[in-house]
Amino acid sequence: MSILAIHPGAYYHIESLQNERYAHFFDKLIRPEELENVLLEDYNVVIVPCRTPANRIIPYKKQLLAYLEQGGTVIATGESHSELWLPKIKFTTQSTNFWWWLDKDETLGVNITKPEHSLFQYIDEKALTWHLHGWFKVPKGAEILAVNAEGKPILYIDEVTTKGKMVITSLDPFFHHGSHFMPSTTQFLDGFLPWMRKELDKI
Amino acid sequence: MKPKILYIQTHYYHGKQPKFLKELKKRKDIIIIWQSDLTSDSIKNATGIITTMHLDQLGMLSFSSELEAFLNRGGRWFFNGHMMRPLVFGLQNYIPIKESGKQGLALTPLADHPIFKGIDRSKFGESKGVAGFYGRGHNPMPRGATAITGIGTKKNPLDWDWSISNSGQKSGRIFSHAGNTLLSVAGDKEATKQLRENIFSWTLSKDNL
Repeated sequence: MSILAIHPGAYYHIESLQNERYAHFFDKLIRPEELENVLLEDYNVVIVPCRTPANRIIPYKKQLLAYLEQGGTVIATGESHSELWLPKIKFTTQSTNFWWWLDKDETLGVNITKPEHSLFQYIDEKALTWHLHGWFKVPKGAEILAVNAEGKPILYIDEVTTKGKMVITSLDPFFHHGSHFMPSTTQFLDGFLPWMRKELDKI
Repeated sequence: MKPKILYIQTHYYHGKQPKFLKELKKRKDIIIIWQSDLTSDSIKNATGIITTMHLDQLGMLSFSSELEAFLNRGGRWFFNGHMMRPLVFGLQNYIPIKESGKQGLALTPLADHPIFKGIDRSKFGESKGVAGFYGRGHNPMPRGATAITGIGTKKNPLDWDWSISNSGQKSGRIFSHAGNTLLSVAGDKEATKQLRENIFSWTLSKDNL
């Protein structure tokens, strides 16, 4: 078992990565600046949580790419500008509607596009629904798992750009769970992290 | 020493910068420093410090002794966010609310404070009829601190001001706001601007308390 999580040290990272609920999903926590001293090949998964300041990851862009080319898996959640440090990511921001749920007839419009995917044995559409920050233009051949109301990808898996796997989302569950705000984000992590352990943490 | 605020930036903005950051850059009494560039000397040369909700608290732990020295010589620290690592002596970890519903999130002004001068604090309670944006818990108050805003039926101190007594010398102060960074939270444009000015003035020790 080997999952490496990057720990940028904000309160919401401490709550999400180190507190009892999820700490056992991360075998090793390192500070972004420690990346250069770590052999990423020793880990099946490298996870970079929401709101990791991009300027602290950009210096290790080449190292992450080399890890991916050796078959590694990188997970990047929202608001960390993964387009600046992972290959072939094209991100477009969208205005965030924080208030859609005040109208009982309104929906955020998130749709699961591949319900047969193993992730959706762990989470449902409700666990993907709080608010949106943007969407991706996905490389041809990548697997789109969920889209926004306009049908634009917000969660996908790219196994075509490198020899490894990138699990990319614009959703920001670690930030909100770690802020004790928005229960859907906790539901997301309650399912996503066991899925990560079961499906991605394989030799 | 000429009053100077050290605004410690941790959050990375790609492209458009927030308006308040542009305002800060224009001021001569505020120095914006990336947390990664922080040194013992930069803390030594400041009379005030503002940290945001995004502060790398693990990184900041390595400056605990500098922060304590800063407070002991009368420095003022405006802290935003959930305290998850006690950064100086006397602080404790954040406690989220346990009560459910609106009453658990209800805000009660417990004392006047210069940072709220000219601000209608009742507007902090809700945004579009939804409570909880101002804060959802509290950083436990050190002994001797003054509760400024309470949350929930127990009125736990979401905002507090701690004057750190130091054998008759000028006291250092910490204002703790256990929520999103208060520089951009007041609701309407004018109130937000006023609140920001008040926070800068307090951090620069320009108040009558």
